[in-house]
Amino acid sequence: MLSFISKRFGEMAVALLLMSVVVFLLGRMTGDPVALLLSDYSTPQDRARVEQELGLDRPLVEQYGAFIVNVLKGELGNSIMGDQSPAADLILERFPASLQLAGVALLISFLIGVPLGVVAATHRGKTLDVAARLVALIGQSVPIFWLGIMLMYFFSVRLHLLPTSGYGTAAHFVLPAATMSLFTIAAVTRLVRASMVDILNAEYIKLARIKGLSESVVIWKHALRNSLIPVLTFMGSFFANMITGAVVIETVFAWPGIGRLAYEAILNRDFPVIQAVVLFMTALFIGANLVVDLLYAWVDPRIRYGRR
Amino acid sequence: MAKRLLEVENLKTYFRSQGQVFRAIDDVSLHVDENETLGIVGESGSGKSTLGLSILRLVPAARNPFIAGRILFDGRDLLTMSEGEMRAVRGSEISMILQDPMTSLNPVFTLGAQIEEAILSHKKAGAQNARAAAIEALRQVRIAAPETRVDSYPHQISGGMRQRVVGAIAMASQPRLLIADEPTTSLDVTLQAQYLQLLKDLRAAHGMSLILITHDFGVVARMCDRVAVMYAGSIVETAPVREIFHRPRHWYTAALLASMPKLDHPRGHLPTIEGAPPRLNDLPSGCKFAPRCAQAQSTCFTQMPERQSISPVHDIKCWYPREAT
Repeated sequence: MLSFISKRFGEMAVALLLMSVVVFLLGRMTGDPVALLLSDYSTPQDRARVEQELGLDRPLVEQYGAFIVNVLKGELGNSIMGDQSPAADLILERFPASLQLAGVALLISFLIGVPLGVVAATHRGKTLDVAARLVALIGQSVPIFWLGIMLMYFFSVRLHLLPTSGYGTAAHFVLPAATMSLFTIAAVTRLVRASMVDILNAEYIKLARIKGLSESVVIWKHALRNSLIPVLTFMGSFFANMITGAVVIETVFAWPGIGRLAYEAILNRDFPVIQAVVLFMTALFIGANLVVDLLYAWVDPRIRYGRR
Repeated sequence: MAKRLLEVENLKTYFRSQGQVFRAIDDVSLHVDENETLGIVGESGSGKSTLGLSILRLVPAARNPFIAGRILFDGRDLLTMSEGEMRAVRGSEISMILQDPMTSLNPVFTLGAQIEEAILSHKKAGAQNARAAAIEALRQVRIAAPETRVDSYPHQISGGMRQRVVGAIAMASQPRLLIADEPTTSLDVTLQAQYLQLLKDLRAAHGMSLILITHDFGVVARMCDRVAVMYAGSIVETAPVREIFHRPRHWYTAALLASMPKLDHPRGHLPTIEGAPPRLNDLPSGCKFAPRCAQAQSTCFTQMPERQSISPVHDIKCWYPREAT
C-alpha cells in the first residue's frame, strides 16, 4: 500500500513538471503582457524597465528555471494586475467557492444519477428506463454554457425564482450546481444502468434471492455495491469535468472561484496567475485520481495495492 | 410410509420470446419425501435447472415466464403464495446450491457477512450470535480455521472451498429441502467425491430432503434414493435407483445408460443416441423422444403418452415400454 502511494506520488510529480512546461510555453506564445500593462503613451524605455522588472527580458529557459525554483519554494509569483497580490493567495482565496460548487454538483450527480441508473436497470425496456435514458442522452449532449444561460433566462429573468448570478446564499448554488451536474448525472446514470443490467444476471444475485433476501436488499446492497465499481473509475474524470466546466460555469454565473480566476487571468494575460491556476488544477486532477484509486481498494476487496 | 415434503403436480414453465413459446417445463409431476434424495437426470437443456428455479419461484423475470400447476410444500401451494410468504420459504425451508462456485459468491462481501445475512433474514439474532453461527456453518462444511476464514473474501479462497461456502450459505438456516443444481460439475474429480460425501453427511445429519440435479449417473448411483429422468422438459421415467439402473423401462433411460462409458466394457464405439433433442419452441405432437427412439411406432408420433404407473414406485411415459428383464 505504502509503496503504491509513493509510486503514485512520483508519477504525480512527473505529470506536474510536464504540465508546468506546457503551461509556461503556452503562456509565452499567445501574446505580450507588457503591452497590456503599459499605456499607449509609454516610451520604449518604460517598456524595457517593465520587462526587466518582470524578468521577461531574460531567455525563456532561464525564466522557466526561475519559475520552477519559485514553485518549489511555494512562491507561484505575483499577479501583474491590480495590487500585484501573490498568485497563491488569489487561488487560496477563490478555491473554497469552487470546491463548494463542485462538491455540491458531484453530490447531486450521485444522488440523482445512481438511483436513476438503478431504476432504469430494474425496469429495463419499460417506460422508466426509456425516460432515464432520454435524460441521460440530453444531459450528455447539451453544451453547458448554453444550458447555464437558458436556466438563468427561465428561472431568474422570466420567473424571478433564483438570483441570476453571484455567490452568498444557498439560492445562489442552485443554477450553477444544476448546470454543472447535468452532464455527470447523465454519465453516472448510464454507467450504473449498464453495470447493473450485467450484474443482475450474476449467479451471486440469484444466490442472494435464494437466501430469502428482499428484492430491495438484493438490488441496493448486493447489486449496487458491485455496480459502483465502474462508476468509481470515472470519478476522476467527472471531477476533471467539473474543474474545466468551472471555467465556463463560474464565468456565466459570476461565481468567485478559481475557474473564473483562470478566465480573468487569461483575458489579462496575467502569466503568473495562469501558470499557478493551471498547475493547481493539474495537481487537483491528479490528486482526485489518487483518491479514486484508494477508494477503489475500499469498495472492491479484490484490489489490494502492493501486496499479493 | 414416509411423509411427503414436496409434491409437484402438472408444473408448466413456459418462456415467451418474440411471439414464440418455449416449453421449458412441460407438465412435470414429482414428489420428494422427507429424508429422501431425489436425483433429476437429463441432458443439458432438458429443463433440470429451470425446474429447480421454478420450485423457488426464481425463474428470471427477464425471460417472460408463464408458470402453472401446483407445487405443494408441506401441504401449502408455493405458486399461490404472496411474494413475501415465498421469501420466508426461500433459504429457511427450501434452499438451493448453484452450479458455478466461482461466480456464486458476491465478491465484495466477506464469507461471514454472506452467511450471516442468510441467517439474519429469517430469524432475529444478535450480531455476535450471527457471527458465531456463521463460523459454525463454515465448520460444518469442513472449512479449516473457520474463525479466520469468516473474514476472508471469496477471491481469497479456492474453488472447492467456495462451493463449500455456497453450501454453508444454502444450509445456514437449516432448510428442510435442498436443491443442488449440478453442485460438483465445475469441481475436479477428487473434490467432487469429497463434496458429494459432505452433502450426503449433512443431509443425513439434518434430516433434510435433497433434490440433486445432475447429468451424471455415477453421482446418482452414489447419492440418490430415487431418480427422475428428464427429456425436453418432461419427466419420462421415475423409479428407485436400483430399478433405473437394472430395469430401465423407458427407451430413453436405457439409451442414456447405454451411452455411459464403463470400465469393464470392451474397447470400441461408445453407443450414442442418434439425433438431437427437439427445440422447445417446436416440440413434436406425440412422444418427444419418438424421433430418436429406435422402437417408435406410428402412435408414438401422433399422441403424447400419459404418465402410467407400472409399479407403486415406478412411473413411466411411454406407449411401448421396454420389457423388464
